[in-house]
Amino acid sequence: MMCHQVLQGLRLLALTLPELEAPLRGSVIRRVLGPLEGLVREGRRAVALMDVLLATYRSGPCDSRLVSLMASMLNSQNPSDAALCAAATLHPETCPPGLRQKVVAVLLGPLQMVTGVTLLDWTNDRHTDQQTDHRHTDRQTDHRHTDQQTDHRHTDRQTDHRHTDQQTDHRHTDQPADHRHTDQPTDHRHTDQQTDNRHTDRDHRQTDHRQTDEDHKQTDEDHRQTDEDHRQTDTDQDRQTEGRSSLSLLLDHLNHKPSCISLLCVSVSSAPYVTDMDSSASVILAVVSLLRICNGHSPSPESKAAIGCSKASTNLIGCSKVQRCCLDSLASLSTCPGAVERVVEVFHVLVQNLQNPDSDPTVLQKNYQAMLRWLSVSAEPNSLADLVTEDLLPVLKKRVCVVTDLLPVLKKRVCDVRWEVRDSTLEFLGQLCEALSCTVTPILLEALCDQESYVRASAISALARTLPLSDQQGEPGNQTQEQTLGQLLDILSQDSEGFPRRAVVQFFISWLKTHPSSSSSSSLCSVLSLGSTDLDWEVKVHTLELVELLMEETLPGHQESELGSAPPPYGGSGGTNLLTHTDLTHPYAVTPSQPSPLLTHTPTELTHPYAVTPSQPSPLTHTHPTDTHTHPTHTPLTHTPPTHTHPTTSVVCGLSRLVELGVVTALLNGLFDCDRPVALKACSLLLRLRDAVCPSRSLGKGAMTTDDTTVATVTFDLRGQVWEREVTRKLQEKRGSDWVKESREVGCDRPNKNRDSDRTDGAGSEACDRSTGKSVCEGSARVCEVLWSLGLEERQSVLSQSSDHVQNSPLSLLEDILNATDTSHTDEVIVDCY
Amino acid sequence: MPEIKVTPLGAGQDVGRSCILVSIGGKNIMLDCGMHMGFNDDRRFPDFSYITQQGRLTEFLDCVIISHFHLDHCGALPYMSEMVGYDGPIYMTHPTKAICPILLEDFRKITVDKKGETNFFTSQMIKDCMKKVVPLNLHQTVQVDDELEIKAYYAGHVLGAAMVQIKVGSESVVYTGDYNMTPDRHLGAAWIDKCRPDILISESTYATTIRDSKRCRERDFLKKVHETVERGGKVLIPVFALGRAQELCILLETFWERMNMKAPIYFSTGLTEKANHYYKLFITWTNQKIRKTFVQRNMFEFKHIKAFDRSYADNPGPMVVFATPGMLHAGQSLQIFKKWAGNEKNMIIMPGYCVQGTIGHKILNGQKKLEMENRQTVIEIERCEPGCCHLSLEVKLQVEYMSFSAHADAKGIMQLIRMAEPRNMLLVHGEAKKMEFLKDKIEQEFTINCFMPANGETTTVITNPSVPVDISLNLLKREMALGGPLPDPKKPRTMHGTLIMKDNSLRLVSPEQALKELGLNEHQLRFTCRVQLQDPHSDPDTLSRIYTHLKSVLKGYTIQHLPDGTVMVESIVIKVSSSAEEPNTKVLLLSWSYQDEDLGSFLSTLLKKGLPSGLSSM
Repeated sequence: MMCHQVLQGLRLLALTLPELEAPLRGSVIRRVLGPLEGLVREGRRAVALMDVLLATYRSGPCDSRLVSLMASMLNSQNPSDAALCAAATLHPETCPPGLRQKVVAVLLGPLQMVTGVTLLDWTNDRHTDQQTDHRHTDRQTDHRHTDQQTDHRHTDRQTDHRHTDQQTDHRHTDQPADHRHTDQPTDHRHTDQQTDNRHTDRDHRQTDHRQTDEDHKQTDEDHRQTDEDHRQTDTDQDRQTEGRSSLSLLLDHLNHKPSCISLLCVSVSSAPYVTDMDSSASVILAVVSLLRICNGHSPSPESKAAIGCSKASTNLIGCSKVQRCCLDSLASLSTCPGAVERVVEVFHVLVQNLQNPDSDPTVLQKNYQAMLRWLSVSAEPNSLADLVTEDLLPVLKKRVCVVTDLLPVLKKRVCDVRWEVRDSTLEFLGQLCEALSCTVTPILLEALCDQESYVRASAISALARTLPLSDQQGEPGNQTQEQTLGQLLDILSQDSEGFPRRAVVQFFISWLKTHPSSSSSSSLCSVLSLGSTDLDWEVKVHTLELVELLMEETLPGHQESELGSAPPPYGGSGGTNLLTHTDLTHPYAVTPSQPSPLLTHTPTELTHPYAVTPSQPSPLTHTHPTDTHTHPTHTPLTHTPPTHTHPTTSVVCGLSRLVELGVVTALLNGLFDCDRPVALKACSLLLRLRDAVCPSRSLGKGAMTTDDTTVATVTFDLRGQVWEREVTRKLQEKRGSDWVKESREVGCDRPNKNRDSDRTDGAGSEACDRSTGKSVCEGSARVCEVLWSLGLEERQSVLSQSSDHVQNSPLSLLEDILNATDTSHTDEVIVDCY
Repeated sequence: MPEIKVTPLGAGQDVGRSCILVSIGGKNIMLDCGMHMGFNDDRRFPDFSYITQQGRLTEFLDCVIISHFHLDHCGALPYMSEMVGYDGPIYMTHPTKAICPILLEDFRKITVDKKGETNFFTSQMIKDCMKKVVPLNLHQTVQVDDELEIKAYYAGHVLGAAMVQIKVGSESVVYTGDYNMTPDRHLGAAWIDKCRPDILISESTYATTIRDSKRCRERDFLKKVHETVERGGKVLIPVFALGRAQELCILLETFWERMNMKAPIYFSTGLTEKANHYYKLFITWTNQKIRKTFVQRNMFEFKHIKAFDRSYADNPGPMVVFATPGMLHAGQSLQIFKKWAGNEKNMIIMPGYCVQGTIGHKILNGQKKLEMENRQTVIEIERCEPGCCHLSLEVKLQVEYMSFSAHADAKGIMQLIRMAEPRNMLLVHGEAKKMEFLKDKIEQEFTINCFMPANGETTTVITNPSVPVDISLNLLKREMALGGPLPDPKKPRTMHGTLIMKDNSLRLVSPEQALKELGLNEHQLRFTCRVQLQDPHSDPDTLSRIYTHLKSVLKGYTIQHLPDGTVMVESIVIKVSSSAEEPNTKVLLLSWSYQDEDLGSFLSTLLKKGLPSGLSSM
C-alpha cells in the first residue's frame, strides 16, 4: 500500500501538472520522472500514479520513458490495478497510440475470460497461453494427489509443503544430532512460504520470480531436464512466466468474489469506449452473456468459457452491481455499428431481467433505460431491412414478438410491491407507448390510485404521453377520456402531495398542446382556479405555464397570419345559454373551421357577467399614464393591417374568453403569491397580456379608437379573492392620481362627476353607470384598468431580484459585521444548527 | 497491520455539510452526504473530487449511509448520485427515506428562488436518487456484500435518526450521526450495544456544554407564549417543516388543553400537515409515552392547531402561527413578520439556527431597524409611494431565541462512550476549540486515543484484529478431561492443537483429526541426545545408579528399569554404553518424543551434572 503522503503528493501533482506553463512544466517533469520510475519499479500500482503519468503525458511532449512506465503500469500483475490504470487512460482523449492495444487487452480480458466470448485477437498471447497450460497440466498430473483444486498454484504450494516436510523428517531420523538445529530450517521454510502466500495478492514481479525459481528447485528429477531446457532460452521463459502468471492471476482474481465483481465492473464499464467497428457485435454479445450469468444461467455451452471460471460465474449470480454496469454499457453500445445484429439477444436478456423476480429496483430502472435505447436501434432497420439484407427480416419479426412479450411482464411489474419498481415501470410505459405509438391507458388509470405519490405522478405523466395517441388512433374512448379528466381534476383538488398535482397541471399543458381549442374548457377552468391557489409553488408555476399557453392560443398577437387567412365565422347562433362553460371553442384556435357559437356583435344579447359590454369611452383611457416605460413588445394591433375581420373584436373576444377561463384571476393569484418565482412569472405574463390587449395610453388620447375602448370594457370578477381589497385600493389610487393629472391638463368638469362616483364606490349597480365610466361595480373590475393600475413594471423589477438580495447587499454585510463585534450571545445561535 | 482510515469531506471541525469517508477492510463507505446551510457557493457541497478525479464514484464507494433527514446530512445526496454520478446502494431508515424528499424539495425551492441557481438538481433527480435508497430497520444487520455489514441503532434527535455500526470482518466503526441522550417530548434517547468498535465517530455539537434541563426551556417557552397571548399579542414561530415544529405543536397542544385557552394556533403550509402525517405513520419511532397513548389518542392529531390562510394574518386578536421557512428569508414567515413587526405587543420566537444575512439572523442579533428593498409585500403593508426603493422596517415586536435542538451534550457524549466502549474516538460536527476540550477530557477519562481531523485530513487507526477460530468439540472435551480450572474468559490459557487454514476458515482440531482430514501419515519425532558421564562402574551398574537417582529426584513419575538394559522415564529412553578403551567414560543415550520435550530437556541437564556419589547400584 502506498503511504498517505505519497498519495497526497501524487494527487497534487496530477492536479497541478496540466496547469503549468511550458518551461516550469518541463523542469517539473524532469524532476519527478525519476521518483515516479522508482515507484513503478517498486511495484506501486495505484491509480493515482497512473493519473500522474497521464497528466504528464497529456501536458508535455511525449517521452519514451514515460510511455514505457505507463506500459509497465498496464502490465501490473494485479489485474484489478491494471484494469483501473487502463480505464484511466480511456478518459482523456489521448491514449499513447502504442499502448492502445494493451489497454484494450487489459480491459476486455476479464470479460472474455468469464463469458467465453472471443473479444481479443491474442495470437501472441495465445501462444504463450498454450505453452503455459501445458506446463500446468504436466505438473498437476505429477503432483496432484487428492485435491482437485482449480487454483493451480495453490495445489503446487501444497505439494511443495509435503515435500519439505518429508525431507525434514528424513533429516531428523537420519541425523539425530542437536534437535534444535534441525528444527529451525523447517520453521524457516514455513514462514517463507507464508510470506509468499501473502505477497501474491499485492504482487511483485520479483516475488513471483523467486517463487518460480523455488518451484523449479523443488520439482522432481523428471522435471529437472525440462527446466534446464527452459533456462536455456532465458528471455523466452521470462515471457512465458509472465504470461502464465498474468493469466492465472486473472483467474485467481475472478474466482475471488469481491475482486471479480470490481474487475468486471471496470471491464464492462469501459467496454463501450474500447469497442471499434469490428468488435462491437461480439462485445455486445459478451455483455449479454454476462447479464445471463448474473441471472443464473451458465455460460452458453458452445462458447468455450474459460476453464476454471465456474466459480466466477457463481459469484456473479444476482450481483446487481455488475448488472447495473452491464446495462449502462449496453445502453451506450446501442449506437454501435454491430448493434443491429444483436437486437434479438439483447431484448431477450432484457426481458429475462424483467421476468426475474429477484431483480433489484435499480437494475430494473437501468434495464428500462437500456430497452428504450435499443428500441430505437431496432426501429431503424425497419426501413433499412429491404435495402440491406433479407436475413434481417426474421430478426425483426422476432423483435416484434419480444416487444409483445413485454406487456405481460410490465403488467406484473406495475403491481410490484416496491414503489421504485412501479414508478420506473410507469415511466417506461409512457416512453414505450410514445416510441411505439400504442396505448396502455387502462394500466395507467389503475395506477392513478397508487398509494405512493411518486407513482401517481408518473402514471399521470405517462398518460400525458399516451393520451394524444389514443385520440389519433380514433379510439372510441371519448367517455373514458372524460372520466380520466375528471379523475385528474380530483387529484388536483384532493391529493395531499405535490408531485401528482404538478403532474396533473403538466398533463393539461401537454393536452392543450395536442388538443388545441380544447373541447372541455370547463376542465381548464377548474385547473386554473385549483392550480393557481395550490399550496405547492411548482403547481402554481406550471399553472402559469398553462396560462401562457392559453394566452398564446387565444390572443391574436401570435397568430397574425392565421388571422388574415382564416377569418372566423361570426354567426348569430350565439345565445345567452351558450355562454355557460360547456363547449367553448375559440375562433382563433388552430382549427378555426368550426363555427363558434360564442361570439356575437350585439352586446345587448350578452348577459353574462364577464361578457363584453361596450360602453362609452371611459375618461380614464384618455389620460396619460404616470409611468412612461417603453414596452419591448408592441401592441400587435398597431402592426396588424386591418383585414376584413375586425382585429379589435378578435382581441375583445380573446380577452373575454381569457376572463371566462379564469386566466386573469389565476394571473392575479400568482401576482400576489408569496413565492417569488410564481409572482415573477405572473407579473411578466400580465405585462404581456396588457401589452397585447390593452390600448396603449402612451399614444395620447387622439390615438384612442372606439375599438380600443371596447377592449377596455371587458370586466372580470373580483369577489371573494384574497387580493380583492388590494386591487380595489390600487384602482382607487390610480384613479385618484389620474384624475389629478387630468384635471390639471384638461380642467373640464367631467372629472368632478368621476370623483363623486368614486366616493360611492360599490354602492350598487346604479353606480355602474356607463356615462361615468365607473369600472368597479358589484365586485367586478375592468381588466385593462386593473392591469394599468398595478404598476407591473416596477413589480417586475423588484421581483426579479432574488430572495437573497437583502442578505447579499453591502448594507446588510456592514450590519452583520457591526453586529459580529458584539457576539456575546451568538455563540449558541451558530451552534444550534438544524 | 490492518488499518481503518477516516477522512471527513465535511463536518471536520465544523458544523454542517456532514460527509465522512471511511475505509475499512478494503471497503469504502460514505457516511452522510450533507450540504452547508451557511454557504451559497461551491463550499455548499462536499468536494467529491477528493474521492476520485474521474468521477468514478460508483467504483470507489461500496455504499452510502445517511443518518437522518436533516439537510446538513442529506442535502447533497441528489447532487452526488445524479449529477456527479453514483449508482451504488444508499442506506437510510424508513422514516428518513419517506421524509428526505420533502426536505430536499423544500431546499430546492429555496435555492431556485435565489438568483443564478439554474444548475441545480430537479425533482426528477430527487426521485431517481430516492429510488436508489435501501431502507434499514433498527437492529437489523444488513449485508451490503459478502464482507461488509451494517446495523442501525436508535439515535433520538429527529424521527428516524439512526446511528450505524459498520463491520468488516472483525473490524468495526460506529457513526453516531446526530443523537440525543435524553428523551424529549416525541422521541426517545439514543441507545447502543456494548459493541466495542475500533472507532466511534461521534458528533460533538455541544462538546463543552452541559445543557440545562429541557423542561426548563419548555416552561420558559410556554410562559412567554402565554403572556403574549394574554395581552392580546400575536406570536410568530418560524420553523422548518419537520422536527422541531412537531415537538412544539405537542407542547402547545397539551398546554392549550390544560389551560383551556381559546386563542387560535395555526400552521402555515400544507407541508407540515404532511410531516405530521409521517409522524403518525412512523409512530414506532417515537418515544414510549406517545406510543402508549396512541391507542386512546394520537398525539399528532391536534385539536387546537388549524391550517393557516394568509388572510388570517390581518385578523384582530391574539394568535399563534407556525410558518415556514425557519430563517425568515422568504415566503410566508417573512410576510407575516413584516405585518406584525411594528407592534410591540407581538412576539417572534426563533427556535433554530439562522444563516448569516437572513432577516432571522439580523433580528436575533438585535437589529431594530431593517432596511428592505421595496418588495410587493412591503408595498402591500406600508403603502409606500411607487418609486421609492428603500424602506425601513421598525422591529418593535419582542424577539426571543429558544434552543430546542436535540443534540447530546458533553455528558451525553461521555455516556455513549461508556455504552459502546470504543477503542478509539473520533470527533466531527463541532467547533475545533470545543472539540479540543472534549478530546482532552475523553483521553483522560477513558485512556483511549481521540482524533478530530479537519476536512480533507485523514486519520489512520491501526487495528489489532482478533481472529476467530473454531475449535473442534473433541479437542475441547479432551482439554476438559485433562482437568485444571474451568475456562474463564478473562484468563488466557494455553491449548494445543492443529490449526487448519482452509477455504477462508480457521479451525483448531486435534492432530489426529487433522491427519485424518488431510490424508497425511503421522510421523513421530524423537529427539536424541548424548551425555557423557564419568562413572567407574560397569554399564549395568551405572544404569541402576541412574535408575536410583532418578527415582529419588522424580517423585510421582513412572520410572522403569527394563530387562533389555534401558531405563524409561515416561516415554524417555535412557541407555548406557561405553567404549572398550575408556570404560569409565559412559555415554548416556537419551531419546524422547516431542510430547515429553520438557522432561527430556530436564533429564539431559540433570544427567550432565553427573550422579551423586552416595548412590548404591541396587
